[in-house]
Amino acid sequence: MSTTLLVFFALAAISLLAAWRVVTDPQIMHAGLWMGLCFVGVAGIFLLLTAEFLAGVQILVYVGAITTIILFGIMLSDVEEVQPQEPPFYRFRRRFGRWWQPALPLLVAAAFLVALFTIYGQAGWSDLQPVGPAASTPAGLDIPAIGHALFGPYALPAEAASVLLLSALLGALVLAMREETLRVFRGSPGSSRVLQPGSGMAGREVNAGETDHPGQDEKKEVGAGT
Amino acid sequence: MIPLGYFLGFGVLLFALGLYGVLTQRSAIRMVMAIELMLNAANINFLAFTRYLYPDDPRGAIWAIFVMTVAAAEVAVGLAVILVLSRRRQTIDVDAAEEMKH
Amino acid sequence: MYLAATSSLPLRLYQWTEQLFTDLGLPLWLLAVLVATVKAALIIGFILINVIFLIWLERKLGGHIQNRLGPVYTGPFGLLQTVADALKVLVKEDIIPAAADRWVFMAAPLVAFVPSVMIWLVVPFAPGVQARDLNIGTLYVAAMTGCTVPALLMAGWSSGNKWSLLGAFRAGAQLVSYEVPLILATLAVVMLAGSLSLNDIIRAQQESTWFIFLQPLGFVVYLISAIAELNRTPFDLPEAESELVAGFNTEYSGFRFAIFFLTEYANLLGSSAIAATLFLGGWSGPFLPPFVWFLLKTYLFVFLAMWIRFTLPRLRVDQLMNLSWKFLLPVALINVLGTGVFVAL
Repeated sequence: MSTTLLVFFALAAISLLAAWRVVTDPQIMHAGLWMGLCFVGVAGIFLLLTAEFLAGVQILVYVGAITTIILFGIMLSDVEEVQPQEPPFYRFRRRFGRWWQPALPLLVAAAFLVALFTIYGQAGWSDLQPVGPAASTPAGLDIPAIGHALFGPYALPAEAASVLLLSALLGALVLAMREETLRVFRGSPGSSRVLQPGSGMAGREVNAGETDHPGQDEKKEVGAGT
Repeated sequence: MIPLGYFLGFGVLLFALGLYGVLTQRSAIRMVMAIELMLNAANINFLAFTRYLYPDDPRGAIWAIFVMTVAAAEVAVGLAVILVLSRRRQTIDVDAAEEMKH
Repeated sequence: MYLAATSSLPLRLYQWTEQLFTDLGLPLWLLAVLVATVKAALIIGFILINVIFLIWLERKLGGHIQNRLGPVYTGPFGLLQTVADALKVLVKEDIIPAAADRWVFMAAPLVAFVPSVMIWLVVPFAPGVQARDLNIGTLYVAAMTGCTVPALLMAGWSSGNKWSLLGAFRAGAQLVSYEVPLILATLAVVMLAGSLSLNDIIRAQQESTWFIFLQPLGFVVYLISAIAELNRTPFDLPEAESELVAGFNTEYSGFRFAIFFLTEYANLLGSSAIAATLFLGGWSGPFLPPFVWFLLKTYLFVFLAMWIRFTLPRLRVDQLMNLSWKFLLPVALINVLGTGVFVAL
């Protein structure tokens, strides 16, 4: 067995174990951390596929940003693990007992697994070796080629993606804002509390009377005028 | 060298684990995590096919980049929704937010 | 083997070892593992020696800026003070709080430490002296810097202490916010050099001029964001003593605390080395040997960071977020736009 193959198996084993823990770990914070480990393993697999750029982006976006946001989400939502009051498939359960609940999703996933493996086998992809030299990056995964394609023929989708990101940013901001903040921004009466603008995730509320920020004066009058 | 099938097999296993997670979990955050696993599995396929079947075509890599972009946007908006849900309902059970169904 | 490629003594050593391996019939991947281990040992040794010196320097500089002497008793000029402190910390008891999440608590310092060492994989010390010249150099550095956030969240959450948790929250929000202008400032440099590789960036600066002259705006944005990324004093809200005890590492003691401390200074050194490479031409310079230039430029940034630390007071949370999102981000975007126009002309 070659060294690359050994490395592949190690990375695959780590990622799959981590992924398994993501869907089964009873402690949701641990599940989030396992997810981070799984992303690191997938980045290693990307490196084996000679896609260095995407491996870097994978670490930057998935480990650096998405895992962080999800950990934040877990901590901010501050909710105990979901305890199902009325379990799914409860009619089946009454009739057939407890084993139905985990068995059905398992069955779906297994069916999917078998179907895809069959398709891959039929296509003759299972033993395919790469064309060209083994270790070097092919032209399609080279950074300049990706850049030229992304800002050449695919410039419009790239722009659309950036608009999507911008709207997601603003949407998330508006959704997660507290009612008081929204009222302040709309300028509507009814709120004597003013949120310090830009206090971000901390969401720190300050009584309007306590602020000595010069920019707050107008808002204070809005609150006081009602 | 590693045959293509190994990468595809790894991708399928990862996707199946994600699928299992989405089907079994009731907590919204866990469903988001399982969806991320599935997106990762899709990216592995894009890159593996680029590497083994179309080595001169950058489209696979571009797809992978778009998948990551969409994943980032999805997580940001999804967690904002979950945050509002947890503030209003004190739960993140997806079955608790079902009144739009009726 | 990049390290061996240009300098003669390592090259001869490498050839001799290779010969030895073929004579003894040992597999070549074992040689690769050996070379990697030697490189890692050299880099970790470099970091450790420099961190010991950095901690002394910080205390001494702080002392003199505040009109006192700093450490004087242990060794000449108090140089061995850090060694004594390190020994003291290492023999202390390794306490794990009862409320802590044991495994996460134990893993967090290591998860924080590993990326801070891995940054040095791509740092060019001198022509040809680099552990690996990755073609995604700057992206790799950004990715490794980003890996710190989950580690801090792990430390803060697993401690089971509200101060730790608040510190971790602040650290996460701050690091994520300042990563954006940091990467945009790096992006402008990458656009000028036309490559992500740190070696190519140095070469581009040798051909034209240091990028600090072409990118004054980018440099300021980079400096502010880098100091914020390092959680150093104007931005040290995650571990603000007067508010949060010690932030995310409140519950850590002994060996694990030492690793957090080491990570902090290794990150300072790493960021300074990257800044010197991106904006001051790295190892290039006249008269002196390249490695000396590299050290001089790196320590210029270290000195700047320490000077700022002992000069400016701490920001408030809202000022911190305003600075990043309402000032640094627009400035960095305008800088990228301007650089794009400049490159296109």
